[in-house]
Amino acid sequence: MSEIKIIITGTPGAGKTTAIAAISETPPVRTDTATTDELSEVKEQTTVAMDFGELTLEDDQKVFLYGTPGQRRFEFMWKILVQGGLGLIILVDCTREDPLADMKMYLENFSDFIAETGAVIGLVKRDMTDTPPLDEFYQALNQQGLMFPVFEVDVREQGDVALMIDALVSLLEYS
Amino acid sequence: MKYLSSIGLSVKDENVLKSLIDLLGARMSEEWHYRDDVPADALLLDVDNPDAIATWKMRPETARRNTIAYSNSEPGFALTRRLAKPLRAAELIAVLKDIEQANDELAVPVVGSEATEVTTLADCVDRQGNGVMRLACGDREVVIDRSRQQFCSSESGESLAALLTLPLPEYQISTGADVRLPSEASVRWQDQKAVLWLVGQCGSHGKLLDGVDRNGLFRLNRWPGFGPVRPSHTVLSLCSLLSRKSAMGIADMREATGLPEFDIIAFINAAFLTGILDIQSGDVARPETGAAKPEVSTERKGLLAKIRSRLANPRT
Repeated sequence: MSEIKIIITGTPGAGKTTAIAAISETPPVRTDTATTDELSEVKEQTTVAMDFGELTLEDDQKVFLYGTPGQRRFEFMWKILVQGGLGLIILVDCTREDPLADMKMYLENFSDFIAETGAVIGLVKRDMTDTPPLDEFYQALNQQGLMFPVFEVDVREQGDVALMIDALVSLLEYS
Repeated sequence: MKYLSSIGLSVKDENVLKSLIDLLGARMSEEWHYRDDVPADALLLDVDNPDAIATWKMRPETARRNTIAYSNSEPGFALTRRLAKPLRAAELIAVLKDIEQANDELAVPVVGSEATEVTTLADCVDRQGNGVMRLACGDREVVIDRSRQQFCSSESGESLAALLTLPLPEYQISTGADVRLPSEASVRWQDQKAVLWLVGQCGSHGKLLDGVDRNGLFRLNRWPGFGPVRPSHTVLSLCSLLSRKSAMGIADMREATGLPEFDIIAFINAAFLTGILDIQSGDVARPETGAAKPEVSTERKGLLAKIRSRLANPRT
């Protein structure tokens, strides 16, 4: 039986590790190391290979949740992690300078994978600063000929993470 | 002929209920029968029984209309019609007559409207346009201020959804200058999209809004913000279906999902009320027959269903 996996990607500090921890049955396996680049001001540690969590289905089949490293210099890891993946969740940190550009960058980099599967966009930390309205994210998707769900989420909340996966599953079945 | 059913009653209560129904006869304007195998016009729910409530919540909205809460005490459960235990004929007759009457009076004029008739809450809210509207039932209320795009309510989450499920005649409706707004300090105003979504989902009762072309082709221009109530599988499926590049008609949606038209109409109305629905005339070229059917293998469908089931039952 092939591995069933859902990929969670997004900007550094968006909460990929937190999202996996919120829903995984087992404590996520993490590959964090001390931050040395410009991120060190906002984040002490960052993921360098992947985060990993799991869900067990009723027949004991496992769904694996993989969190990619956020920084673009780990792009080579993204290509490896998505192989055979079910779909993609993109977390966008809305406190960053240009969240729309961040979303577009991930859509572009994962375009081949997304074309074969589907994606859900999770906007995080929208309450902390002035950010583009939700409509602008949909317009940006529309400009690329895409129509994916965009949710405002708190990735510490199991329900919010479950909603993103649930929406992804529906997309895979019906869109 | 009308049918009554029940969920969660003891064997004794169920037998008493069946006997009482048989005895109602001429006291009712309609002939009532106890049946579990047909869609019921009224449903008696033992709200002291948590398993019964769980079963009830899984039933489609069509099957939950006219639910009567049956309880030992005042239930902490937002249902308008109640019967105290043990069952008494007079009280049962009163509540069933109330259901008969509510169905008869479904067509009522909306206050402040252009003298046209509306039959559902969704129609009522849709026609209200930009003004202020207060919907009340007993001590429960919702105030929608369309000009400020906000709402406030005494209820939240599932109890707000339950309040918006009632038949239209059960609300006291006031509009415009007649609405006494709650003091700013006492309420929390929220984005109206959440309540408009619920009005469409809960208050459509199978009737498409007047402004929506039944033969139209539909597509979402964005996904809804679901607000206080977590979306069901039905809602997520329809969102996904209407996110496709080609717009779809109601019949296509039924074919693709197997969902009843009642649920599809509730979804379309909710999407229309919240402004996320694009509608094309049904006269434009339709997608080829069969295009509505997603090509997902049975094995894959099974896997996706298992993931969905797992998400609905979180483990701590």
